[in-house]
Amino acid sequence: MATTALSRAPGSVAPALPLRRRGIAALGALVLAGAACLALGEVGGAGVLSLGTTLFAYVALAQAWNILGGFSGQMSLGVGAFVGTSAYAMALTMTRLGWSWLPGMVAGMVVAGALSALLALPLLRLKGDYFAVGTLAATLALDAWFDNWSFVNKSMGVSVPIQAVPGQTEMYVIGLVVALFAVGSAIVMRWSTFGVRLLAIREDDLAARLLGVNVSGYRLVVMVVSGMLIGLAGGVFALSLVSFVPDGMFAMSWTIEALVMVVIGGMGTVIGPIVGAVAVYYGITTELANFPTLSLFFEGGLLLVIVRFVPGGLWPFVVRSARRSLEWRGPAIRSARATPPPS
Amino acid sequence: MHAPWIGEPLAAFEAVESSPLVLEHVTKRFGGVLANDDLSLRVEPGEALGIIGPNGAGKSTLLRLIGGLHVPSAGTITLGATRIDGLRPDVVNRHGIGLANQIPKPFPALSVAENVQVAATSHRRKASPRARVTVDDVLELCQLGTRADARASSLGLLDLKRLELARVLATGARVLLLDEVAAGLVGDELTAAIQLVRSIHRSGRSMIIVEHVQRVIQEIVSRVVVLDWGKLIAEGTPAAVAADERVRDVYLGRRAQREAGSVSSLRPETTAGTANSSALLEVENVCAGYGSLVALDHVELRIGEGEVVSVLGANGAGKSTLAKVVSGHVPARSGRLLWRTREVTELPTYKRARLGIAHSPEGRRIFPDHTVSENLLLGAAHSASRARRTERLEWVLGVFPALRKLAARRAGLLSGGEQQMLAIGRALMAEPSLLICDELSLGLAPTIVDALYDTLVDVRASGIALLLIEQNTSRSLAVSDRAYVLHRGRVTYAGAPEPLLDETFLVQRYFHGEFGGRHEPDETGGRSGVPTGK
Ligand SMILES: Nc1ncnc2c1ncn2[C@@H]1O[C@H](COP(=O)(O)OP(=O)(O)OP(=O)(O)O)[C@@H](O)[C@H]1O
Ligand SMILES: [Mg+2]
Repeated sequence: MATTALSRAPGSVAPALPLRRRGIAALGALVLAGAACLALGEVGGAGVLSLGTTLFAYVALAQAWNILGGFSGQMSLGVGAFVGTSAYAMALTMTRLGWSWLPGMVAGMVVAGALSALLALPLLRLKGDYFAVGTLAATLALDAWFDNWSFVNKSMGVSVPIQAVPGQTEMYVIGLVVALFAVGSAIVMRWSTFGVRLLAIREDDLAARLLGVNVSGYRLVVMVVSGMLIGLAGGVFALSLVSFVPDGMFAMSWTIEALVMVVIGGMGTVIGPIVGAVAVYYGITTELANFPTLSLFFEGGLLLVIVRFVPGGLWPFVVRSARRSLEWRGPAIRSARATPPPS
Repeated sequence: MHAPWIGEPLAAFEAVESSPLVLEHVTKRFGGVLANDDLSLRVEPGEALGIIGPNGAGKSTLLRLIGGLHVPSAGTITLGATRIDGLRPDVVNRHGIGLANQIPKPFPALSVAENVQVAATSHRRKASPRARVTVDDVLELCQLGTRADARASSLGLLDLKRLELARVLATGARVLLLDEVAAGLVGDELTAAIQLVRSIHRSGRSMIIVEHVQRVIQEIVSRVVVLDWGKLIAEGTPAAVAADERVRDVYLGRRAQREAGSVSSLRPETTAGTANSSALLEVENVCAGYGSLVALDHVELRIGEGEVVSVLGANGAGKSTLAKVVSGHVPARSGRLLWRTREVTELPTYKRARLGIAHSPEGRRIFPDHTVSENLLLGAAHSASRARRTERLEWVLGVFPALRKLAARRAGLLSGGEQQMLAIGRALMAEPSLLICDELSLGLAPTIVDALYDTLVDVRASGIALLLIEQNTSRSLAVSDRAYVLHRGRVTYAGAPEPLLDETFLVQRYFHGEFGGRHEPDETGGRSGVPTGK
């Protein structure tokens, strides 16, 4: 340990934690998982393709919420605001300007990111409950505005040109790329010094400030990144829905879905939101697709069970259990480490 | 003991040049509270300035003003040519000023190493030829190397203080504001901390040290400023200030010499025969721990009705865990707890509280959003009548007169020492049969410590048994009937307090394992650590 002080290049901040290594390993695993999903799309039929597309979009949505709420501690109730603006930006650029889906989607992402930055101006000063209520208010306001804005057909809604919507296989790949992008962003954020600082802000923003962390700057970056990722997911939803109305795209249900998925899977972890999205969307929503009330009931029930019995969420629980069973073999080593070595 | 880096620990801390820090006519008001009153100070580059004064004098407020946590109501603060008052804390930090908080503010869910890393990387300075210390180096220096991977939430108070210092060091600050970083340290640990701060100082960094531990002031700083009620009342060398009449009146107290022999007379003679007082609490063969860590290893302890028992031991020996096992905050993994011969091992904390076990935990768990008097009244026994509560409140305010003026203030706004008084006062409100005080005198001004120990005599006279955990060993041994020493979770001494007044014997018990095999509990005194079977 002590030798590192001597062997370092001057002026550098040597990262003492194997953060970068873990991040690279995680990115590698992500690439493999992506390839596996791609292969699954090849062999699977139409069912797998459409299910996968929506699932991927939900993974991205949950991960985007997690980056903001789980990493930086800003609990947003405004997912719908970004889904909606992005979907509308995409539909409008495609219909009015004749853009194809790819630039349309990028436009959606950019507009959602811009909206984040705009909202950040007043919201960054707010913390905790106030932040949550602020994001909710913004969503409701946007919904009301679009409902009454003739440029976007008021409450009649808009559509993306049907001939411009990619085919099922392409949609699957688009969804996968968006999900990979979201998870990749989460990995880069979590396993970097940037991420450590974000978590520090979540834990005690005043202490972080005292250590020189520009808290507002970090909050802003995370809000914008999260908004852009939600925007991407919103683009996938818009392409799969084709036509939509303000009340659907700016709905509260986007927030609820994302939040439930993250809480069930494990807030503040990278894998948790994926686990949560699969559990909620695949395990409950699709399995019980013919019984919407029942599926809602199960969703709520699962949430209650998790909050009550596995408060950290499913993924941290799995990790803990695995670690505990491994620890069985090495308690002697561990306790030796925990007590200071005699000199 | 182990402090391998003493000597030239900080080759890694390259010499720096800092600029003078100048405060001119700084005043800070919080509503009606005048915390700092027209203070003017100058800290030369590379100077170490000490600030002392009674609890609530405004010392921490002054450091927070410099650190950018508060904005002065009047006056200016400049570092070199830059005016820093009114700047955000992160900007102030970027100018090279680092503040270590009196009440630690860790990032609980992050590991110790990550906590330090936040500081080390919070802003990259423009490429400079200076070598930066690594996170590992800083952890080693602050004796946190072995805890690097532990979550900060699992640290005890002393380790949290070390972490606070480690983080500030990692920011690479040139002006360090250290608010009671050595509180609670004694003996070799204190020596090590002093050595560390001195070597940081030698690297050319300037610092302001606020500390109630007089050794720190005496051995590190060259100039001391004394605050009282926000005003500067004295200034000079440590020796000169210590001799100042006014300072002795408001802060140091008159009992300057407290020789071990003379204090033991504070102990009433009546308690000599402890064996005949009936057992209040018996801890039988208790083990406890966290995860795979064993914190208490087959501990035996007995407290008689109205007895005062001290538990000593080095940092991390398991003292706080023992206190928490007794009050029920930490479960015993094996063994039994008997309260007046009734088994209470499985009883939840609140029920134990109703039985009469009150715990004033280390780190002051007060209710920050309640007022001082609400905090105190919340501590009163469940069953007490209103009249009884008010009567009790009066008594506690008599013990801590400082709290009376603060009765309507939100507890979270109190100074560190004021919060400590509140925590003890709240525990006393419950009219307990057993009061557990963890780190009783931590962060209290010498005069208050004197007053507190005087009151302990009253407290025990009213029939309350005391379990004292205290780093200030000669102080607590002087009022104790019996004492225990813990070392790595095991009892290495149980018996009369007098033999422990011998420094070498005490050290031997503190680091028992390193001095040979496991000894029998000591034969001296009334071996009452062994359950009498009553
Ligand atoms: N934000 C605040 N609002 C109101 N009063 C405050 C606030 N912060 C501090 N005070 C009061 O200002 C006074 C000075 O507090 P400060 O923390 O500076 O004391 P201190 O000298 O550090 O004392 P100690 O030795 O106990 O740490 C105290 O009476 C405290 O209650
Ligand atoms: Mg203070």
